Amino acid sequence: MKTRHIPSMICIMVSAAVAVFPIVFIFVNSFMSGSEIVSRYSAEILPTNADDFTSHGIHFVRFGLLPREFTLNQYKQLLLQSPGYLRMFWNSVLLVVPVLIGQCVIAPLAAYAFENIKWKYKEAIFFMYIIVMLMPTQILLVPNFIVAGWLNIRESYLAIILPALFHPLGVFLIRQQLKNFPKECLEAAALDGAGPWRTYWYIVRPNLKSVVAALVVLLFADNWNIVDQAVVFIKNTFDNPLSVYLGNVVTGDPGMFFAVSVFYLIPALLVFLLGQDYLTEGIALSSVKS
Amino acid sequence: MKKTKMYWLFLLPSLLGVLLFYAIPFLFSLYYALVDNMGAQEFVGLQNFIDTLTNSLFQSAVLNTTIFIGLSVPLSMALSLFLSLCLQGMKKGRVPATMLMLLPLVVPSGTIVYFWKVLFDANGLVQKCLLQMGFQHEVVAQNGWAMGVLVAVFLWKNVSYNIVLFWSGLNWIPKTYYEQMALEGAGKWKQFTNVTWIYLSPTTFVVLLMSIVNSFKVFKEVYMLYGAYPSPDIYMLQHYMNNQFLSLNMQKLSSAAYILFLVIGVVLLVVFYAQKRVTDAYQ
Repeated sequence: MKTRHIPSMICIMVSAAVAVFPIVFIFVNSFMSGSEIVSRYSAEILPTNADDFTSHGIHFVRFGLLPREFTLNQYKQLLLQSPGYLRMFWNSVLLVVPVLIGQCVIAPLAAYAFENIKWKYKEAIFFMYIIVMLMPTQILLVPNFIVAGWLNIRESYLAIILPALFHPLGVFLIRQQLKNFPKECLEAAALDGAGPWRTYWYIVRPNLKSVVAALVVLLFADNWNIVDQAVVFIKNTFDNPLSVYLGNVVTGDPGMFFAVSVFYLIPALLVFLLGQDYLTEGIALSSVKS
Repeated sequence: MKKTKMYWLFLLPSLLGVLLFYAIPFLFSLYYALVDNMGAQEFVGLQNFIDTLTNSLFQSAVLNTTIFIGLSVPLSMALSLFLSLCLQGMKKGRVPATMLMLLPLVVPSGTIVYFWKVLFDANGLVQKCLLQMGFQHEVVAQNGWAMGVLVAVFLWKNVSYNIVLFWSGLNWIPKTYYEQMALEGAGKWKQFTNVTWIYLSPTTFVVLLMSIVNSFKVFKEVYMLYGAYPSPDIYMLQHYMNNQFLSLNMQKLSSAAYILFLVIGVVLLVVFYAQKRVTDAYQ
């Protein structure tokens, strides 16, 4: 084992650095002035970047991690003069929060029910959940789109929120966790005369905290990064969540990109920091082992 | 009796939601796939399926998606297996290292799209370095590199997911197996092939399954980097589907969705079945 220690360490450190580097890059670049960002990364040859490497009439990027002059102007502009960005950030919040709350209420109850119902075809129902869970978003968007047409909510956020509320991932994760739950506890509760609801509320629910936390981290990561659904359902540019609009910022307003990105990244990083212990657990549970 | 009803009541909200928003409309879309248009709704049999399968855009989308999955899934599996073995070889610092590697998983695709552009665009760092090393401009600026970029971006975001899966699989293997092999005089490679590889095979199937599922999520990155109309080299199934959404063509949309559903369903079933066979053989 001793000989493997150092090379392993190096490989892991390199890949951790690769993982973190892009995040560091956008963070330090967010303190550059807008004009510096444009002169560094634009493909056009400008008076300010003519000294850099050019070829075939193209200016090549001047990769940099240290701003020539440190400034908070971008952040100031973002927070004080950019209602558009703030509104789209708020749109993202509006799309994510109901999904998180709804899943945390609906999924544990359903998972608990799946473990206790004794109907012989219940596994067939659960199999349907697994199939839905494994299908790519583009396939699931077809039924979502049809229902949104029936309910006449194609123009509304509900077209995105409602299907996400019922996405089977939550039920699946929590049921995986419940399978390890000591049956004796439940039997003891039943002997004491506790009904299904009391057993759930006082015995099962308090023990689900860590798996629900894992679910919240995974769902947040997924829904804060929503793109596909928004592209299909949202017509009006300013109704988009910021996750989609960031693509337009690159070409439309490059000077602001890094500050807006950091701003959008912070909630994701906060959720990650709060839930990091649960994230690995959630991933391990999400693997379909049966 | 009353108890059972109570459990059904708990399940009801979730079950109704899954049925209403996923299962029932998906079954209903089969009807759309079998009629000629949304107006007359005349039954045309499999005509929509034939049209979709012979559509050249659909074909190239299938081809590109297959190439992407064929490149990214094996690469991400090999890389993550290697890194999880490295993680096992480490003596300390595993937890912080894993956390750092997991960070990309929560990073929204849009926030680092500029980084990828700075790296891989026509005026990006990679091309600059290649040019400065003396490569010809014509070679460097080829469109074909786009697929490689996508694979790199996919690996950055998804390898850590697989590392966690492999890591939890590795921890299930009892240490005594290795000790016994070492006593018998087996080297590191022999230990890997005779213990790690065999006892890891159920996990490997799980990783394969999840990698296929996750590989469809790369659309976010493609869309962020190249917009709704990318070069033909990276025109994916997701683009095809999206264009049908925008043109509100329910016939093409439904038939394409059913074709994909069947193909993915068969692939997943094969993986499931193979996993069961291998797991049964060793346990």
